[in-house]
Order: sequence, then structure tokens, then C-alpha cells
Amino acid sequence: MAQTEFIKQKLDQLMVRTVSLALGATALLLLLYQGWTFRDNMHQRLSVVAQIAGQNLTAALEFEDQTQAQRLLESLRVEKGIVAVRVLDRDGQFFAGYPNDKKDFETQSQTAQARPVELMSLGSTEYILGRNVIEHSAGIFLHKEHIGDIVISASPNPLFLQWLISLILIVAASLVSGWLAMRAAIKLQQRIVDPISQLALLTREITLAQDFSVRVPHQANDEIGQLTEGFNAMLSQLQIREQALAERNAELEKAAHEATEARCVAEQAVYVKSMFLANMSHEIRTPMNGILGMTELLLDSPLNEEQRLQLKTTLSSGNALLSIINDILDFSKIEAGKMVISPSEFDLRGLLNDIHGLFQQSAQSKGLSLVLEMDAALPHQCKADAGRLRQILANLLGNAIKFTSQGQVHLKVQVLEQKVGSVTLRLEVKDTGQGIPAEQHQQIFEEFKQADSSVTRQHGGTGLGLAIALQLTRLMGGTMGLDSVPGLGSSFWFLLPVEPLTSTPQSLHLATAVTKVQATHQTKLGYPCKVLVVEDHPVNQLLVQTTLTRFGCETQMTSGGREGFVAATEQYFDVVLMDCQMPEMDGYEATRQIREWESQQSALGPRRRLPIVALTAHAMQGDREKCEAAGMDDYLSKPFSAQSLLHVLQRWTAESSRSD
Amino acid sequence: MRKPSPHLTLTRLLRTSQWLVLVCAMGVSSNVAVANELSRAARIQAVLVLRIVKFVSWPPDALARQDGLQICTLGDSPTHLALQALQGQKVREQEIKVRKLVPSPSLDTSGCHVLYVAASQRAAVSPAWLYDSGSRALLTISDMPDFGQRGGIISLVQQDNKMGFEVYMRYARANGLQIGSLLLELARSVE
Repeated sequence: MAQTEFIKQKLDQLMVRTVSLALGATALLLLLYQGWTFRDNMHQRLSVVAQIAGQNLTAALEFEDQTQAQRLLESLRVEKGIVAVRVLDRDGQFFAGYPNDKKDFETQSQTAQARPVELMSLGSTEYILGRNVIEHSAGIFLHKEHIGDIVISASPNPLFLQWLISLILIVAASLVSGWLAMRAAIKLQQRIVDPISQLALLTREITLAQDFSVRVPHQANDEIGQLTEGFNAMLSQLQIREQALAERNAELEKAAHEATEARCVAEQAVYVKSMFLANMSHEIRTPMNGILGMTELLLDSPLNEEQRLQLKTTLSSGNALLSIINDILDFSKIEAGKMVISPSEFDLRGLLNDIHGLFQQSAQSKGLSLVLEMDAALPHQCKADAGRLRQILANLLGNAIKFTSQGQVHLKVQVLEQKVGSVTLRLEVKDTGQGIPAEQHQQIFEEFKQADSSVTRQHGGTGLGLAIALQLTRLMGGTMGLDSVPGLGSSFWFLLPVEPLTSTPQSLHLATAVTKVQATHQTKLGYPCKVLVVEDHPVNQLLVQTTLTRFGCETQMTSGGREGFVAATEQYFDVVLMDCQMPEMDGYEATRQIREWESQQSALGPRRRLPIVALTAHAMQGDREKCEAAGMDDYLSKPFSAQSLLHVLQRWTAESSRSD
Repeated sequence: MRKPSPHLTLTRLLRTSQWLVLVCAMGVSSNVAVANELSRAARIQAVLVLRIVKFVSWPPDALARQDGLQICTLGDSPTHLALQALQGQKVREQEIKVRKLVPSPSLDTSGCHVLYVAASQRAAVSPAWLYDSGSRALLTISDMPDFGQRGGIISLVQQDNKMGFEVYMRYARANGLQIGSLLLELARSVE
């Protein structure tokens, strides 16, 4: 309301000012005009009176008859407003007059007397308007002879009275007209201000209630009417916009809901996919294990050359299939975001030597030389995901050997940057192959792509190797790059941050951590060893038993977790190979019980810890942690080669046999 | 309203006359003194004559002449001498001329505007004698008693030690003279 009052006040002030100014000016002019008129009239009247009286007084003056003069002057008393009349003789002495106080007159007109005589003698009259008196003097002439003067004094009271009456009338008229004007103005104001205040009120209401469906009633076709119309139009637009906004919001909400649903579905699908992959991997690996293991065993039996060649082909085909399955599995995990990097402590130089040794054979078989060059500053022990590093290197080396027909493959490892708590390694695999054109450098890291699709036909492979290597490098915080000149060879390199360690790690060695690898191909353990195998699958039982027997180990076979636990507590074993997935009691549970039993036994006296190696078809993430949590010491992923089984046995039995 | 009668405030004159009475009572006689006193009364009469003249209107043709306003006197009197002393003064913008007429049965007043008749000529005075004497409009003034009855217009009278005048309108009108109303107001009586 404050704003409306503000306009009202302004209008009121304006009106009051205008009206009072107009009335004031009118009153002033009126009073001035009255004064002027009064003065003029009085002047005229007094001059006439003086003329007549003077004329009548000539004889009295001439005959010096004061009585007669006085009598004549008495007639002037009737004249209204004339308060005093004085007649002077030709010498300027008082002759007649009233009020009949000669002394009073003399003192009064002593000053004025000397001055007017000159003028009077010339026949002019003098008129003085004083504060209390209006004086008019005129000469009295007889036959053009100046015989005396007459001075008439009038009171200005009639003027003052007139003024007073006028003022009262003006004030009354002002009040009445002002009141009327104010009434009219208020009506006009209401016509102007009311719509505005209504508009303002409505605006506030709309702002508070956010209700844009309200409309201001149309009032007049003046500016305020236009304003109202504009306001209504604005409201309509706001309403339309709000509706549109609400619709859009609803749409967005719907879309968001749909998106959420879609995401749920997608997540579900991914979960299902990963579950499927896990199952598939298990389901595929188990028979693969059997095939590869049996083939290996067969190769060690007496065969003719033709049979041996066929079996070797079977073995290499199986291995190729296994590597393809592994690649697909890894890539799926990376894509599903399920690939988790788990750093652990390991011997970097040992790992490099090991992988060099692994590929030495395949390089030699192609007539290539595989060279390993290590920086002297390389740390011995460091912390990183050794398994993944091994995978990357294997990928790059495998590729290099695969795509190089002659010359050499060079694995070069340098320390690029050394900081406190972090060392950046540069690992480079350089070959003397056909090289890769620059325009394909980017493509080559994309999944399912090879530099030349003809290459796939020539060399085989899924095309996932480099993509997996790149993703793994990135996951480990590194970068990968390629330098290549077609015809001269390629150089794949990657930078990898690792955490260097000075102390020797005490944690368990898992299958990925490789200690010393004998360059020679061993087939026997070389010392007595008693192994407990807990495995439910008959093929695997046979495979493991056959392999172990060949190694020269004494083997006891149990087909369940419960039997395995009983055997482990009743007899002495150098090592236990524990299958993880079994009916009734699985490998994890059996291991937990064995460890529990061990801790109870150790209370009676010091006792050696029984090494338990997990045999699992679970190549999925989390298996290793699960094994560790159950109390297992090592981990062999099925299908495993006879060589890797031998390494594990050597690792866990060598110490015990030596210490024994 | 004190006294309606006009008075000439020649207090000195009054005092002189009282003083004269006193002197007479003391029996001291002096012709010179009497003559002086008489001439004073005559002077008052002469002044009075001039003042009266100021309020009387002659017919336009009678006073249009350039030879001034002629005051004629008839008979010996101190007033004649007093008037003669005033000769040359201007009244009504006319120069005063005083002429002494010779007393005779056939009076010739031609050229005269005012005729002052001394009291000694009382016996001869009659309207016919006065107004058929040549003047076209003659204002007659005298201090003789019953001048009005004898055809005079203005009669100077002494009353209560004051010199006043009486106006007789009959011959004024007949002579075409207009006596100003203001003068009539001042007159002791108007007939």
C-alpha cells in the first residue's frame, strides 16, 4: 500500500499546491485591485468633495466669516469616511474645520503644510494615503485668486473593512471550491490510483501464490487499461511458459526414470554377462585342463614320431584356444569395469628374467634372438600388479615374435624417473619386423583390429592383445605408445609407475610371482615328496596324479573337502593341492578347518605350517583374495601346465625338504 | 451654530470705536483723530464693497469692456477716499477704477459698474434717479438707512459693532445683476 499511498500523496500535494497557489494569487490580485480601486475612487470623491466645499467656502473665506465656514463644513460630516476637514486662509492659517481642535491640526499638518502650498497655488491637488488616514488637499480659488486651502482627511477603514470582507469571502470561496476540487480530485484519483493499487495487489498475490491463471479485470481504455491488458498478456505468457516447463519437467522426469530403468536393465545385463563369462570360463577351463594335461602326459609316453607330431599339434592348438579364451575373458572384464588392479610386492628382475626365459624358446624356434636389457638402477623389489605387468609384457613379446620373420626382438627396461616412493619404468619391446604405417598407429590399439586385416588370416589371433595391454597400462597409471617405421620394425613401449621397496617382502608368493626359473626343462622333482590332492573331478584327479607320479611324488587322492581335512590332520604331507570348487565342503572351507586345527595343535608345541596350494578354474577377479582369506599359500589357475605345477611344488617343498 | 449674522472680524475697528467712545466720554476732542477713525470705518466699507463685487455677476456685455471695473461714488464721504486708495487693485481680473460723480438731478452713471452713494445724498435717491442714469447694469451700494426702500441693492449696516450688509434683490434682478448665493448667505437680510 506504501506505493499507492505514495502516488496518492503526490497527487494530493500537487492538487493542494495548485489550488492554493491559484486561490492565493487570485486573492492577492483581488485585494490589490480593490485597494487600487478604493484609492482611485476615494481620490476622485475627495477631490469632488474638496472642489465643492472649496467653492462653497469662497464667500466665507473672503468675508472671513468663520461661523459661516464652520456651518458649511458641517454638511461634510454626512459624507461617509471623511473624518476631518481643515480650511486654511490665504496665509495658511487655520480658518475652519472639524474635529474642532486647532492645536491638533497644527501639530499634525505642520510638516505637510509647507510643502503643499506651492503645489496648491498652482491649482493642483495633493493626495496622501497614509497608514491611518487618507489626506486630500486642494486650493480654494475665487476668480483665479488663491484665497485658501481645504484639507480633507478620510479614514482608510472602509478599505480595510472591504479587504476584510473580501478576504473572508475569498477564504470561504477557497474552502468551498477547494473542498469541491478535492472531492473531484479524489474521485479522479480513485479512478487512476485504484486500478493501479489493484494491479499492485494482484501482482503481489500472484508473486506469493505463483498462480498465473489469475487475470486483472479490464477497467478502461486509458493507459491503465493498456497496462492491465499488458499485464494480463504477460500473465498468459507466464502461464503458457509454466505449463510448457511443467510438461518439459514431466518429460524429463519420465526420461530420467526411463534412463534409470534402462541403466538397471543394462547393469543387470552386464552382471548376467559377467556371471556368464565366469561360468563359461570355468566350464571351458575344466575340460581344457583335461585335454592339455592329458596331451602333455601322452607326449611323455613312448610314441612314434608321427604320433608325437600330431599330439604336439593338439597341444599347441589347445594352448592357442586357451589364450584366446583368456583374452576374451580379460577384455570382457575390462569392458565391464571389473578389472581391478591389485598391487603386491615382487622381484622385478626375477619377473623380467622369467618372462625372457618363457619366450626364449618360441623366439629360438622362429630363428629370432630375444635380448633382455635391464637398467642397472632397476629396483629389485617393488610393488605393482606383477600379474598384469607380466600379461602386458607377454602380449607385446608374443606380438613381436609373431610379426617378426627375421632379426631380433629386444626387451629393454629403463628407469625413466626416480622420485621418493615412486619410480617410473620405461619398458620397450623392439622388433625388426615389417613395421606399421603411421596412419594405423591409432587403430592398432583398438579392439578387434590388426594393422592389416590380412595379417589376421596370416598370423591368427583375436586382435584383442594390444587393446588389453593398453587398457591394463592405463589402469596401472601408465601410458603406452608406438614408434614404427614400415620395413624397419616397430617399437612398443609403455611407462609404468611402480613403488620401489628396499626390504625383502614377507608376504606369500602367488603363482604370478616367479622366483628362479630354471632355464632347463625339468621333468622330475629330484627328492621325495608326499602330496595330498583334494579334487572331485575324476579327469583332473587322473591328470594331477599322473603328473605327480611322473615328478616322483607320493600322492594321496581324496575326492572331497571333508576327506581332505581328515587326511591332512591324520597324516604328514609336504604340500596339499586343494581344488576350490567341490560339492559338500569346498576347498576354502577345508583349508579354513585345516588352519584352525593347526592353530589348536600349535598350542601343544611348535609345528610347521602345511603349505596349501589352490587349484582353481576361477580366473575371475577376487579369487586370489578369496584364497588368501581362506589361508591358502599359493594359487594355480586351471588349466595349468606340468611345468607350472612343478615350479609350485619346488617352491613349497624345496625349503621343507632342505630344512628337514 | 453661534450667530447666523455675519461679522467682520476687524477687532481693531471695534477696539478703536470703543476707544473712541472712551475718548469722547473723557471730553478730549481731536479732529484729526476723528477723521482718522472715520477713515478707518470708511476703509472697512471700501474693502467690503470690493468683496461684495467679487460675488456679483454682471451681464457679459456690461463687464466685457477692457477699461476695468468702474466704481463710481456720489456725494462726499470718507469711503470715497478709502475706495480711491484701493484704486488699481484687481478684482475679478479687472482693474479697479474709482470715479466721483457730480450730484445732480440728472445723474449720469454711464460706464459705472458700482455706484456708492454717500449717506448725504439720501434725499435725492430714488430708483428712477439711480437706474435711469446711463449705466446698463449698476450695483448700488450705500450705508444710508432705508437705502433698500429707496431703490438700493446693497445696504451696508452697522450692527453690534459689526459692519454687515443687506441685499435687496428687486433692482438687482431688474438691472441684470446676479448676486452670488454665497453672498446672500452672508447677508444680514435678503429682500
